[in-house]
Amino acid sequence: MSDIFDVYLLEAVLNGLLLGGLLALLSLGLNLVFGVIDVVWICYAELIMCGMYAVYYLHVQYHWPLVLAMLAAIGVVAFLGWLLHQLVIRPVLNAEPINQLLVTGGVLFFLQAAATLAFGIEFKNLGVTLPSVRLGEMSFSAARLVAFGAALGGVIALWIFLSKTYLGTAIRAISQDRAIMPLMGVDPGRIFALTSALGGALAGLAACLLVLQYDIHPAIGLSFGPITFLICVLGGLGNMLGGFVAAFIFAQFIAVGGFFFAVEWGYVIAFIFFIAVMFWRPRGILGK
Amino acid sequence: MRLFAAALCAFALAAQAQQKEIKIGFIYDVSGPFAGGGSEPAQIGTKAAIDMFNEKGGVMGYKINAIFTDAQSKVDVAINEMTRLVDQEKVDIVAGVYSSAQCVPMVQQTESRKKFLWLNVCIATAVFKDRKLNYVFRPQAHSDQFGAWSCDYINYYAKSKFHSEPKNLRVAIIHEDGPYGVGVAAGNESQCKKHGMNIVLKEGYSASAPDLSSLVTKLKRARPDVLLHTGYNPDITLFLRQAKEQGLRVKAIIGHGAGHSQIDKLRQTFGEDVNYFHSIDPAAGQLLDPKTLKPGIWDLTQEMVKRYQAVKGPGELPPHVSMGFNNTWILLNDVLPRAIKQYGGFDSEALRKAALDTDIPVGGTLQGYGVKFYPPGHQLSGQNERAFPVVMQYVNGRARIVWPREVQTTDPVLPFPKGHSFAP
Amino acid sequence: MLRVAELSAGYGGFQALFDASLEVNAGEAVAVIGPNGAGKTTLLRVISKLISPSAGDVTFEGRSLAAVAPHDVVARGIAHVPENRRLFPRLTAEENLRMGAYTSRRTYAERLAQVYALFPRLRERRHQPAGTLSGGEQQMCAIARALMSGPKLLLLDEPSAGLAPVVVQSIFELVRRICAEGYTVLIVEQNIRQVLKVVSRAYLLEAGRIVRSGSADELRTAPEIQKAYLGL
Ligand SMILES: Nc1ncnc2c1ncn2[C@@H]1O[C@H](COP(=O)(O)OP(=O)(O)OP(=O)(O)O)[C@@H](O)[C@H]1O
Ligand SMILES: [Mg+2]
Repeated sequence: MSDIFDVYLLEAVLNGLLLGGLLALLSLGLNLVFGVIDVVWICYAELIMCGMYAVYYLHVQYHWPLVLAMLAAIGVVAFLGWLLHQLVIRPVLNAEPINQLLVTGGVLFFLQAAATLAFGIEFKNLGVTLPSVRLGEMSFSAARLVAFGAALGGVIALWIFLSKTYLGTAIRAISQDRAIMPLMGVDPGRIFALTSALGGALAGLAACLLVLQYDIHPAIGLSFGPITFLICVLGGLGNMLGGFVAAFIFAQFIAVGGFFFAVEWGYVIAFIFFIAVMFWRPRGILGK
Repeated sequence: MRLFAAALCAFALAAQAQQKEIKIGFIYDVSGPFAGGGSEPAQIGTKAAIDMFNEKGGVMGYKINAIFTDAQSKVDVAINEMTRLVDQEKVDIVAGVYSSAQCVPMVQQTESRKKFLWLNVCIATAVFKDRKLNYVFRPQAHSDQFGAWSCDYINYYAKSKFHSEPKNLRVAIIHEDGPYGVGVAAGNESQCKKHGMNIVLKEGYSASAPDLSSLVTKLKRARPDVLLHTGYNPDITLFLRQAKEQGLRVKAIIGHGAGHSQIDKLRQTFGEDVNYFHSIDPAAGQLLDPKTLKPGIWDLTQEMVKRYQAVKGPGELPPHVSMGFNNTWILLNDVLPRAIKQYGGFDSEALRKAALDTDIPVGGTLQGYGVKFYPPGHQLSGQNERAFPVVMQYVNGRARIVWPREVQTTDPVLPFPKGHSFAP
Repeated sequence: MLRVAELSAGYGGFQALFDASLEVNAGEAVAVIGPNGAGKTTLLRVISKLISPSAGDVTFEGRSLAAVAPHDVVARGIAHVPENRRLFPRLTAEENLRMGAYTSRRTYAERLAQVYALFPRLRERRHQPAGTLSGGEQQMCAIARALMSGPKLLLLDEPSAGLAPVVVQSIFELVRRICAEGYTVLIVEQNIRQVLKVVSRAYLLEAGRIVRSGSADELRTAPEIQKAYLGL
């Protein structure tokens, strides 16, 4: 190990990359929903929490095989996304944005409280530990590698779906001109419901990967909700590519900043960067 | 005229007889991360103590009317609840409180209202230090003691177990960045320095941080022998998981209460990986040697265990149950009766005087420590000078007291044996 | 083919259309002309069910559209080129065309070829975001998008509005070719002189009421129209 080449710095950078993958995955669903429906799901991280509980109960309590439990959890959260749209978002679709924020914020508190009542405040975890991947002196979390792959896979699959299929094209079109969609033979209500389910499914996918690394508790959303939201805003709300790029930038600030200074400073630097970008480009890095 | 006065008197007495209750407002967290970090067990312990007194007719004929409120693991909620308890519920005493982050601002507010505040759980020294408090009392040990304890412990065993001079021991200190973690870490640093140890890293982090991988990387680079850690629950599991994934190697890990005292939880997640971990906390009553306690105290311990397990089922009781139970018991069994008997009631003045008279010898409470509060004028006035924490080591899920030597129940296992996940 | 019977419609409390009736036969090109705010756009919106009428009925090929959902109208064979084109600006020209074929995906490739034959300019611009096309190109794209569904009836709402005079010429030339290809067309226009050269019949709509109808020649020579609309 030479003086110029710092293996620990490299480890920090690579860990930042992996964290970026996780954050990118988190931002996908929120961005999709905002981009299409123009409503911010403040309760997005709480949907993820529900997904984590679903994996936990199916796998630990009901002894389903893990992969099956995860697929089911994705289905459950997709359903929750759909339900959220039908019950909560639809009535306020044309309301002021502040009211939309308030209702989804209400759902956030509702889900937290409901989870506390239903599952208790105890921390739960799968008890599954993935091995780590060694690379000389460096060592990385397999769970993070999987999350990274899933984020990459998710973004590519989503991109193909949105650019190559009729349904995907309609999803992009509807955010540009909602009113004339019926003239194309498209039922906007169905597209919205579908997008919500898809956003939920992405939250479910994120849940499956988080549950491999984090304990589950009713307040887990607080650890991920704000940072996910920041990343989406940083990349340009509704812009999926922007969110993807922003996640990796943000993660590098956290990881490398935390390596050179105190861990806390990594976050502080990331937030300073966020504020600076907001002054420079209020609509985000890739926002229009 | 005389008749009228007598009637008035009788009326007043009757009213009082009817109202014969003491209202105590307890603030704990039954939602949010602190709940699982020990706040809920503390509440269960507290309830058990109150039930025990009320079943025997209360305290000197007064029924204890306990009002429990949920601070939701949030500082502002805790303060609001305290204000509500005092202003609307008109409680006689405010008590409980799990998090030091809540205690620090709260003491200021109760003090300005001259409301008697009895702290059960929070441990930061900063709650009392140089605050010149008059109406706040804490039977519990304080964080500077926690921090010092771990350094004394490894200093004692440096030669015999680590085969090293204390000055050659590399120590890393990491902590959550609230008053609790900061307080313990400051105690760690100053005491370990006193023993001449080499502090290779000292760093705080936010308990809700979603990622701690760069902290682990820095620890790997710093190559400590001993890791001193202070944290709550989600951050401890995140840290340990990332530490394991990234291949951190140390000879011993010593935690300081909160998350590290929830061994059942840690074992669920990490299984054998947390074997031989330590935690420093006021003793969990059930772990003490009955021989070191005054007569009758052990019966209380068993009563507490019975009542807790009736709620939560079998399993190791976290020390927080004892903090909830024992410290409430001290208030109801010692301070309150004296206030009523000698100082004519249970207003803040009477309670304060009664508290300052407290003199329980070591071994006189179920957590082993005695109680005598630092008097006004002392920089920690209101803090119990006879309290001490213990170092516990978990072996195969069971906690053993390994420090201080006077209450030690077994010899510690140091360093991590070969084959342990964190062993070098 | 299309039959509009005593149709009334409005927005909230405001009535924009009063008992309007008209008819379009298969293979015919018919215009609705009238001044600003007459209710022409409203009429087309009711036909394609973007808004529902307060009274009256629309029948297409003998069947009432009353119970048909807005997004099912296209499948019945009615394509609507809305006022101001309303392309999806951030989709490419070709993606806009794909949206037009949403209900008839199987014939997409074939229709795309047809449409490109009709509008060679669009083929050149097909990968360009629709928002960056010129006004004339956007109008072509909007019409092409409607044709992608293979409609039996094409509703055109002021295709010449907002275009430079030369471009207006070529748009009307296109409309003429579309009519010549056998599409049935109902076109709304304020450019009365031009549109009457393209259609065979026309209705005059004023303040929400059909006040006159007749062949293109009749209307062109009617004195009140000459005076009010043709500036003669
Ligand atoms: N969305 C709406 N809400 C309320 N009133 C409307 C709406 N759209 C149109 N109107 C009113 O209805 C009447 C008819 O409008 P319409 O758009 O049908 O007229 P038009 O003949 O198409 O006019 P133009 O030639 O200017 O396009 C007008 O008075 C207009 O102000
Ligand atoms: Mg119009």
